[in-house]
Amino acid sequence: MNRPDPHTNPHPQVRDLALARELIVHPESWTPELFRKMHFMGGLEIHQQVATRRKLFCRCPAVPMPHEPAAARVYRHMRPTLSEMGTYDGTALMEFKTKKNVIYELIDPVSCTYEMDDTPPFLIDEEALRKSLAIALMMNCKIIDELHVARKQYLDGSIPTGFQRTAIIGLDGWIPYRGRRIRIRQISLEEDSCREVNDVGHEITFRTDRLGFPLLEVVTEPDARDPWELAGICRLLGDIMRSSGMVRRGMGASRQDVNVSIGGSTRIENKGVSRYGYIPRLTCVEALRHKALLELRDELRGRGLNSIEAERHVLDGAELGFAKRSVGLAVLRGWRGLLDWRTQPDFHFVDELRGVVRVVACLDRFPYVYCEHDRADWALPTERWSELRRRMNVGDDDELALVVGPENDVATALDEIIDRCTQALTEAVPKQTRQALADERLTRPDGRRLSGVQTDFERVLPGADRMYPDTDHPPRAVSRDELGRIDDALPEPLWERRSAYRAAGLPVDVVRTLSRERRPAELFEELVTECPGVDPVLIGVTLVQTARHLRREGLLADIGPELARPVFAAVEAGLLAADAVPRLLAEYGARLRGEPGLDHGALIEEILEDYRRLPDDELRGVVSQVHRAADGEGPREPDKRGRYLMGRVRERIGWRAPGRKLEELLAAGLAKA
Amino acid sequence: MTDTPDPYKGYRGRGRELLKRLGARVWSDCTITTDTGEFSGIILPRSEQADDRHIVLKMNTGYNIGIAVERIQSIVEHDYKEAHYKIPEQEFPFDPAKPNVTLLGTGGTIASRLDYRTGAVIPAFSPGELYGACPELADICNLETKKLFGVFSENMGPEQYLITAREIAKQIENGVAGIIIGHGTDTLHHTAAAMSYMLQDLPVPVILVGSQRSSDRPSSDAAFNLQCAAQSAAHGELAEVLVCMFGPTSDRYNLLHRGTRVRKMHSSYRSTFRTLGDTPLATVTPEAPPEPLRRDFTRRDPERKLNLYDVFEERVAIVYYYPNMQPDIIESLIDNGYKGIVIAGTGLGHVNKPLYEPLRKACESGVQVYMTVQTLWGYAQMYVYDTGRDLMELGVVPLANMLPEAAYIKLGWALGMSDDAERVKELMLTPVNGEITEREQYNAYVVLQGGLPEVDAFLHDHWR
Repeated sequence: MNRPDPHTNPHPQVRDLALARELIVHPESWTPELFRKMHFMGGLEIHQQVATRRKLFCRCPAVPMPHEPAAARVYRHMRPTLSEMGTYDGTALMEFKTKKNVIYELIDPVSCTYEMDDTPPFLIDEEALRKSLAIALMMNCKIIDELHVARKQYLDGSIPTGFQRTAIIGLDGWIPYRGRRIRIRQISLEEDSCREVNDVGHEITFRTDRLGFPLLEVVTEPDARDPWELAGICRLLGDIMRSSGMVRRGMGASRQDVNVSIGGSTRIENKGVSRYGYIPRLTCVEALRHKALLELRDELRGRGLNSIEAERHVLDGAELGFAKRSVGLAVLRGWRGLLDWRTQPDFHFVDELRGVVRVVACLDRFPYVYCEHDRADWALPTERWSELRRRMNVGDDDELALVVGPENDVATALDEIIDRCTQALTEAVPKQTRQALADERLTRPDGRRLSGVQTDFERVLPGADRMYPDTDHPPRAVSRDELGRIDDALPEPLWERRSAYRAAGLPVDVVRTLSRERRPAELFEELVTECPGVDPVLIGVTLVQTARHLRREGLLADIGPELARPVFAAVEAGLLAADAVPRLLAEYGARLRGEPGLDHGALIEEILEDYRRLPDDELRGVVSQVHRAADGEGPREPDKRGRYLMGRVRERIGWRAPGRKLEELLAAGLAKA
Repeated sequence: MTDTPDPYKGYRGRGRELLKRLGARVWSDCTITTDTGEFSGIILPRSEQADDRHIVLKMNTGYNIGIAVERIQSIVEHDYKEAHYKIPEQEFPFDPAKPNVTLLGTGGTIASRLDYRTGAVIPAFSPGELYGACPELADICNLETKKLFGVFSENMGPEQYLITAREIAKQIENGVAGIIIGHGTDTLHHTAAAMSYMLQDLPVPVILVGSQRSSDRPSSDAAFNLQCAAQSAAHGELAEVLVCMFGPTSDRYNLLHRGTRVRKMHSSYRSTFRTLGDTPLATVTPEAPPEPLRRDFTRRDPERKLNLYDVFEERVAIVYYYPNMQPDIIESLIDNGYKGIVIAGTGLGHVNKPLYEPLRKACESGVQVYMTVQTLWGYAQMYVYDTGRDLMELGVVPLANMLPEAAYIKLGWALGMSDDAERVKELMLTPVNGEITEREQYNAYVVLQGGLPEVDAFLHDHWR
């Protein structure tokens, strides 16, 4: 069946820019304009855990337990199954070639026989569904009338069934960004996969605590025109989901995949982007890798190479200094120097070979593949290469790649090396899923540290052929009534709230926090309605900035309604000065910290009484007393004197009057004096 | 695919009317316009149990969605793409040095593929298809296959038992090295018991195998089970009727269970089959022939002469006793002409007093009544308590530690063998192959109790 990839870059390769190998090493040249000229297209797949009590298809609690030791272990293998067209999916086949033994660690309180693939699924968790539908509505999606659970095959072992249960819930949505609409292609609700613990050689270990968490997958159209826009859109999507108050926060609760192409290349999916901050660099690097690979094809064609001519040899490892291991040698005719073709800041074409060999042939001893251009301390000495060239009768125009490992794996590795080199000519940029090398992955297996985020091969990009209907699960209709109830309960869209907050004059950080944090935002709305006489800026600043300050000082964890309500009611009634609010809250926090047993309500009443605003005539009396008492004392210079007198007044009345009012009275007094 | 395809397959009521009215049909590659926008894809057949309010569409991303009938305004067909499912075949290689094995198919999920659009199961069965799905089989043996029927496990019954037994006898006569029977798992142990009684003095192994995860799933146990079964049939020394299924739930090894002592014990675990009141005969892996766990089994001997007893009396019932069971349950069996009753009694083999009278009537009128225990483990020892003694007095015969299902099948077989009450009783009490054992070893009853520290430690240290 003809199934076009919806992210197809329609533009041709652009050749009138500087060469990739120059651009890659000059990050200062990476500008939005550069990437727009390359016909950059970027899209996102955001995976966000939904906050629910239970997992999606079983009744285990949805609680991450990263440190709980495994209660027991299960040992399994995955076999590819035939697609509906009677063929094997490319990814499936590749993953089967790797012949991995898969070990699942069962985490007792949060994994059951469903996670062991020994019990069929239970019906879909209604809380997860309700919350996911709400988020899909927030992104203006068309909601699917009847949900059909599908199986998306993954043979890497990350899910014990060998497939992920997933259902599309919404299609064709949009969110506004910089005056245009970013299109949401689809939103699906799926079960989260296992967390990988260990992957050495032919054995891979997974933990099952995270397995089965409800996970939203939001897929955008490739509407970002440069890497920075892509990061901005990613951040906006994250904020929208966060603003629903229905998603899980914290480590691993959300992951982003970044889809990148440029004119002439094809969509490449980059997985494991853990922070927005990585996106621009990662995306620039990946787009330039495409450019470098397109230019490599130009070079190969320029050398008159229209197909790959390669020889493979299996040599005795001991003779070459690799005891007890087999050595494979690929001779690439006419490729002289091209394994050294720069593809990323720290990587060359030989690293493309290392990627596929590591994954497909399960070689686990870095560097997996050697070439004559290696510069690290593990590089083979030049004499060894010259000797090999002599012995194997290699021509001056030819390039050598050497692979070391167990005999069977070396044979697989040689196949993969030649396949990958063939792709350099046929596809230039082969369809792949790549992993972002960030965080701990910035340190390479040989201890070398990368200069920044880059990408490495993870697996072949899967096609639509890996989708099968889940016969274990009946369809679930979504009625209009049900949808109406969810829609009614939705908050105003994030972007509309943002404009409203800005119009109200709230500071930028307050706008940002209120627009994405459900609890303070709801409290803000309530207080603004309940206290129309209070400046919304005071309420917003209190709930965001003051709350943040008090939290950092360790005085108060949170400003909740039970505290904010009486405080702002007092401001509204004229019983509390606006500028007394932060002091009052700080004092409240300090006293509660000193005596945690205090009754909260009584304490607020007491402190409000202490801060109770003085009647104007009483205040005037205090001011004139201070004036009289200070006569002949303190600084004379007007500004300093004003502050001095203010201090004296505050000594007597604390924050029981607004600063502005005091200034006014003092100024009047000073003028009189 | 059926010969006369219904263009609205699975759709009924409103859905069917809409498709007719808009001139669309199943397998239309089309665009559907609704009040909220357009959806493109292929209209799929609908499951007949589903409601009549939605049309199912397969989108080009591979996902399926249901669109509400009442929202559909128009359907424009661009193309028609009926799917024909075929399992690719590769010729199963023949190696004269390898033993010949015949695989008899009865149905079930051991060798099948899903029709991915309708959810229907297509059996993968020819050697070529099996080889396409599990090429490792060719490293073990030469394979011939014969499809006896395509029924779910629950629809296996006497008619199928007889056909299967006769076919096995025929294959053995033809000189095969072993037989594999592919079977659904729900009643696998009933069929195993039936084959054990009907096929006596086997010269070669008869291996029953199924799968708990269908072969359309990457985690399926089908290929592992098939390879273990092939090893057992082609190279195994154990010439008995055996069930070959997962030992632990991990892909480590399979167990070979004697056909009369095995039972499905979990509705969905891979390691669902257990030997009860005894220990399994051997372990086997896809890579090597079975390794016996004990010595008392019948060895392969191609010269041994098989005895086929292809008989079965269908008017036999199991009565699972429960407190307050009323006499009319037994009476209705007598009135309906049943010839044999197996009771699964409580404890050592008991039922309540109100059943005495109808049981007496049954025995007196020539109905054979036997007692097994619903505890599954342990012996019916009816001489211990008055109740048991009373029941024996009425004519109820205890069947020692025979499993209720094995007893039910055996009674059907024995009543087929003879009309003579004494002969039937003799057949019932003389074990054919381990359905009654003289003693229960110390490790024949092991149901580990999770939650105990020592048991949890065991579970932690061994593959589940």
